[in-house]
Amino acid sequence: MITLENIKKVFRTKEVETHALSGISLTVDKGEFVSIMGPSGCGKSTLLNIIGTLDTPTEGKVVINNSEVSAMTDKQLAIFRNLTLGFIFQSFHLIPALNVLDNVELPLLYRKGVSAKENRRRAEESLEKVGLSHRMKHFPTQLSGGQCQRVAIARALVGAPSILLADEPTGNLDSKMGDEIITLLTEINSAGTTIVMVTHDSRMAEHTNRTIHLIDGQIL
Amino acid sequence: MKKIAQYFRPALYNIMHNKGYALFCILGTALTFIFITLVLQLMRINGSNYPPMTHADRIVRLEYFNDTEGKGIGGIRDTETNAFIESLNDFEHVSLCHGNFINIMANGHFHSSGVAFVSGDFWKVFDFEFLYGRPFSKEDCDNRKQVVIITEDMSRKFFNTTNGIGKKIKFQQREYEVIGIVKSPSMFASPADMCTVWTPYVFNKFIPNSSYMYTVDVLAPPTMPMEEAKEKISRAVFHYFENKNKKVDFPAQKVKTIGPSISSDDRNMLQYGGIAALFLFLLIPALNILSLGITNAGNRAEEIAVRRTFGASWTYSFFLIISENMILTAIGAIIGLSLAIPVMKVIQANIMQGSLMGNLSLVSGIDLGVIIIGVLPATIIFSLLSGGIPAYIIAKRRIAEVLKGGSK
Repeated sequence: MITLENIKKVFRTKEVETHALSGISLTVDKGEFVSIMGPSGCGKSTLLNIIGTLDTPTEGKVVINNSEVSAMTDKQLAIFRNLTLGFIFQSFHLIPALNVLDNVELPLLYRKGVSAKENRRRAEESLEKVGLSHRMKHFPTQLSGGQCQRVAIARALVGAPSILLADEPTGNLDSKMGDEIITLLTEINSAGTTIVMVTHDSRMAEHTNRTIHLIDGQIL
Repeated sequence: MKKIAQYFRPALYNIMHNKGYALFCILGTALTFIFITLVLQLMRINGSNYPPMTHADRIVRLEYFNDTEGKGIGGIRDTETNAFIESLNDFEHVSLCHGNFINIMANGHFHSSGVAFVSGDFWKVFDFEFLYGRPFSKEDCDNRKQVVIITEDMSRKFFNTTNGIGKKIKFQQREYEVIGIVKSPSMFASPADMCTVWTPYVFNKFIPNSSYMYTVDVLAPPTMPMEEAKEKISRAVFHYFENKNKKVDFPAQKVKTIGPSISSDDRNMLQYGGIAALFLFLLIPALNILSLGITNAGNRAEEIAVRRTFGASWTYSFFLIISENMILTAIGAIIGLSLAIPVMKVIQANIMQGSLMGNLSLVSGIDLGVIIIGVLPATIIFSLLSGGIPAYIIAKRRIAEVLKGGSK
């Protein structure tokens, strides 16, 4: 499902050259729940961004669902992300101008051929799954951290992506909220969605099928 | 509708949460568009036959002449105007005009104003827009009817109303009845210099100007080629002065219509100069708003990155950001357009009041054609200039970099 071949990522400034990833190769199978762990600055988020096509590798090949994403144009990537990938971030990244329902509906706005009514129905359904159907008209500033992350999960799931990428999804939450979120992610994975999660909380990683340890841009 | 809301709802939210920036943009744009509207309007008046000079390309103005040795020999004398007009009987209309600055008593107050003593044909040669009443005719002149036509501005000044029909004004020991109110002509398209009151020429006492000459405006019929008209006018002037034993230097080549009251070279210069001034008027505030826009768009960088993460293309993101700028520019442009006329009146009241020009309008009204052809495209250019660059910069930023909160 996800294959990375010899991925390297170098960040360059005028003075410094930082090797964030140094030849990463890995495969994630369909339906797996994989966690990526490692100390700060080891390249976890960079790796997740490259899998999510939010960043490009300096070298190497990324193949997702048999498509080589490194060869895609900006427009193709936008469509690919919209149809195939779902994203959850540590700091939620909800749009404050939009209410909960509109935030969740966001990925569907960029799809063609689906009516506005159907989009709304799907968004409502997705919010029901995360237990927030009573908060649809609220704005992100009116929600707790845990509720914001549930909205973010609903947004990630609304387009029924085959892969969910989560970057420290429990990092900004207390342990109780964190447990609720990881339980939710486990349920989503049980329903067939492949999940790749970056975390540095080993307790959270225990819920996953496999843990990849990164140090200094390399897999241990 | 949903598609439009997608662009404009976040833009409106952002405007409401950045009121200072929005206010600055709107005011800056409004001020810019006041000047743009003024410049375009002046270019339009100077660059075309603007009322009342609608037939300017067919009107020849005869004022003062030189003899073949270059010495001034005056113009058409008051006592000889009828004979001269008869010599031009091939022409559609020939009018007489003589202007003086006179103290006028109206409504118990004295006002100084330019009064033009004109013949009945003046209203046929020049295309004034009558708001109320009617022009006076040749018969009114012949019957020595004590009537006047005044501009709407003078009517307001004299009688506190634009409809001063039937009211009386007095000058040079005579009382005149107002029988017509015309729309104030622009000072750049006024046939009788600085005059805003017109009365039959038969009452002309040539006081205080004692030149006893009339300006003669000859309107050629539309069917007559202008070369032929110029030839005939040149011959009439030649015979007029020949009868006085004077050799006038006025060949057909020197006969000019008032159409190009400025030469075609000057007109081109005015047009190019106007365009250059417009560009500067646009560029300077656009650059200011651009620099602010980059900062403001930075506030939306996260939103744009999130949208792109979930499938928005960069072109969609570009238009999403620029929509905010378009809203602000549109509001600013509307305010600018609405304020253009009041600002002109303020300039006129405060800067020109003491001068004789105070009686004439800078611009008599906003021309819809100027707005559609000039102001709307300028709005779009301004919007693209000031909003397009920040939108491009933000939409092109790396998603991962923005969501992480900075570049490495």
